[in-house]
Amino acid sequence: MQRSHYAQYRARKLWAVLIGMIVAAMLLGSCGGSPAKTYHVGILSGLDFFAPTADSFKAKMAELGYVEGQNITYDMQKTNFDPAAETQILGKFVADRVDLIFVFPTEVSLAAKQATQGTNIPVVFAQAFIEQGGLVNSVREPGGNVTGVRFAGADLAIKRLEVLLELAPMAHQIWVPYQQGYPNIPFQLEALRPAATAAGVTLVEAPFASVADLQADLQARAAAPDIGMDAILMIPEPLTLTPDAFMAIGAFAAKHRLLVGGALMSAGGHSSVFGVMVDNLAVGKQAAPLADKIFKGASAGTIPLATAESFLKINYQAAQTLDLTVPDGLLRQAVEVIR
Amino acid sequence: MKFPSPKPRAALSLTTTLAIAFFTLSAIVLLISSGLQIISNLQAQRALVSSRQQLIAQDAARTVSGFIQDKFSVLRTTVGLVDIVGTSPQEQKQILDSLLGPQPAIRQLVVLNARGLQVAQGSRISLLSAKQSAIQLSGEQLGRLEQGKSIISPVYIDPDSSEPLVLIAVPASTALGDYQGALVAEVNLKFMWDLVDQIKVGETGHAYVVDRQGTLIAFRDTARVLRRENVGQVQAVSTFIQSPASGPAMEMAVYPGIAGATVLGTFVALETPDWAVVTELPSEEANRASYRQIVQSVGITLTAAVVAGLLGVFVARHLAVPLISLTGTATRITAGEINLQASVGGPRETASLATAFNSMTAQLRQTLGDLEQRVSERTVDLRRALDEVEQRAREQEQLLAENRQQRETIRDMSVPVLPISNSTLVMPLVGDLDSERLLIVQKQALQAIEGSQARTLILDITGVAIVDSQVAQGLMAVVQAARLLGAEVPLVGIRPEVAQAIVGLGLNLSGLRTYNNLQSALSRQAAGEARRASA
Repeated sequence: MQRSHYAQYRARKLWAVLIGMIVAAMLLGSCGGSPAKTYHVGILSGLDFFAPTADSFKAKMAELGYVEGQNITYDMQKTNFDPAAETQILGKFVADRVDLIFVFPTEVSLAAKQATQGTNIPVVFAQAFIEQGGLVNSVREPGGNVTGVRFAGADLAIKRLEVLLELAPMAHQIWVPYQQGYPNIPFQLEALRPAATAAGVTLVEAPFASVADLQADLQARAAAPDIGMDAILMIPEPLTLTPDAFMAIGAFAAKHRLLVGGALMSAGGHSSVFGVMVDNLAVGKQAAPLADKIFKGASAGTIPLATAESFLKINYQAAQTLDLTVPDGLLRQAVEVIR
Repeated sequence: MKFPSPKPRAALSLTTTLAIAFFTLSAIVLLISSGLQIISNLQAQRALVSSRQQLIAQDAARTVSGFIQDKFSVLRTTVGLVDIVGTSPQEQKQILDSLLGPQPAIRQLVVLNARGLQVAQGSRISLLSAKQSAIQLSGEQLGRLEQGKSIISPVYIDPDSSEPLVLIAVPASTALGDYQGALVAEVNLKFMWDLVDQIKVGETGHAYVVDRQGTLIAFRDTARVLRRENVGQVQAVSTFIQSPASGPAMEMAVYPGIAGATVLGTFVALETPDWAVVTELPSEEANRASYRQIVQSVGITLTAAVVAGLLGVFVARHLAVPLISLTGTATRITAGEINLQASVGGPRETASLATAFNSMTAQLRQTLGDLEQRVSERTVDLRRALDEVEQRAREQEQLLAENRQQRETIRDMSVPVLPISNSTLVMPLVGDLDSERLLIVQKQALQAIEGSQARTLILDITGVAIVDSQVAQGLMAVVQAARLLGAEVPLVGIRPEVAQAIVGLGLNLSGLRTYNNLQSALSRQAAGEARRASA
């Protein structure tokens, strides 16, 4: 009887081994990689003018293998020059412990850096100046948890001035409206002033706290015997990019047949003549590889900044309205000519 | 020292044995075949990876080379179509601006005259910045241009933008081939970075570009590029540095790559510029498919072996069930169910065995029946014999009883008591007197005295052959007992040797009367009775 029990025990053990091997074989046969992490990215567009940047960022991320809904999700937020809302949104991103924050332009980037201090949430910025505000330590090594795509410094503003003077060589007083207190203004003005002096023109610097102030100034100038300007230069700053401000500028320029240039913009039936500016879509595409590197383990602060390329675009129709002669060289250099 | 008692080894069942055999054999066969297949696949996989890497490297080299060659082509086309040096400044500017438009990678363009002086400039950046970073060629570079050769400068980093730049220049000549000057372009290599960054080398691999000195020119880790890091210690780069300018592509090799991990890497040298594109695929990824294949093969092998084992169980059961049934039948027959028949089924051999078994059991039953018949008959004979023996025993018992009765009668008759008169009895004793007979004598004597009221019992021992102390004491006991009944017991016929024995025994014979013979005793007794009658 004992012998029989032992034989049964051995038979059971054999079956257990066989079943174990089947399970092991099935496991071996079906082994695969661990499920991929799903990244949660907070995007804050701080100015409608740059909003397409987010779309191209997501598109490029998809090319890099981050498919929305599969291994990445976006919390897309937009403001339009509204610092309070930006602070609130960035606070929510931090509270949600997002894996990365993608922000633009400059002031939102600064706010994002501030909001993420003390956290390890990386920030990728775009459409931002780095010359003032302490956004990064240097182009090669941004430091902290920040990297991104920067504007090409003051050269953008100088290039705008040079193009404006090519289109309007007779202009002597160049009106430069801007948002008062905006962090990236002073260094641009500092770079523009010697360039203007070298070109023999006068910069009429016009800081405004609000669109209403700008409108009031223009009304005052319109009422004055001398409007005090021969052309209007839009430097990279947010105020003139808001529709209300631009409509006021456009209406004033049209009434006095002034060239408005710097950023290519249309609002209220008015258009600027040219723009030397970055391609929003290209900037988004430049920012995506930076996010990819961060997701692959690189520390944001060690990734050198990318510099956005600027392109010349000309509204030839607007130039003709003002009877401007557009040099062939400019037309050939332009990546886009609106006719 | 005490050794643990070995575990009792029980014999495995046929099912288990066959299952193990199937499993083992299948596993061995499958493992051998799978092993050979895996080795073959590994070799093929390695060759495939190597081939693919070579193709990727060549494609990457074409991409990088194409980027530079495209810029050379633009410049050569321009100087071939127009007299870029001799035309008016306005036309020169228009031409340069028109080149800048579709070529975002070209940051600046300048036209140099035959003396190397700048005669025209076009810039994507502001002229102010352009003046601060004026294009300057070395004397050697100008000399090569004068010789009609195109040049490409070493890579340098723009201090403001931290972007990699390179100068490329093509000579401008007259129709007769005289050197007129050159068209020089400052090319931003960050566009090449993007191209290199987009080169897919597997999932985790990478491509990078180095110059002949081993300096990193393009790599996804741009910080290392900006540091002008020299990666000449990397095997592929080291091989490139030591190889001739237009040498063949490097064979795929395994070495610690630029990122530190072990990689499968190779390089392809570009002819112009004198750079090389290195592609590296981490060994882990390169071997991943092979590892997966191995795991799958092992899994499939084990599964097949287990299936074979299960098949073995099925077959074994098919074989074993008739045998198990036969074993059960045999066990039950052993337990006494001799009329059971084994079921005939299963494989032919097993069926034959069952048939033979049934035949054997039938013969056994026949033999057992005969044996039982013979035992039954023998039992009847024995019973009959036993009855006869018992009958004889009973008869012998009866005879013995009769014999015993006769013997008692004879014994009683051997101690006769003869009444001589109303008061006198004679008891003649003949033969040997043993203790039993002495008791009979004593009993008969006392019964006769009591029954007859006799006063004298003459005890005649003339016929007693031997009188020893026991006989003498027995006779004296009769005498004394009779006295207690009131009778006298004179002894008659004491022979001389008996007298000597009695004396020798030291018996007290006082009061005992003795006579020489029976006649004397009877006479004496008759005389005594006569006197008592007369008295």
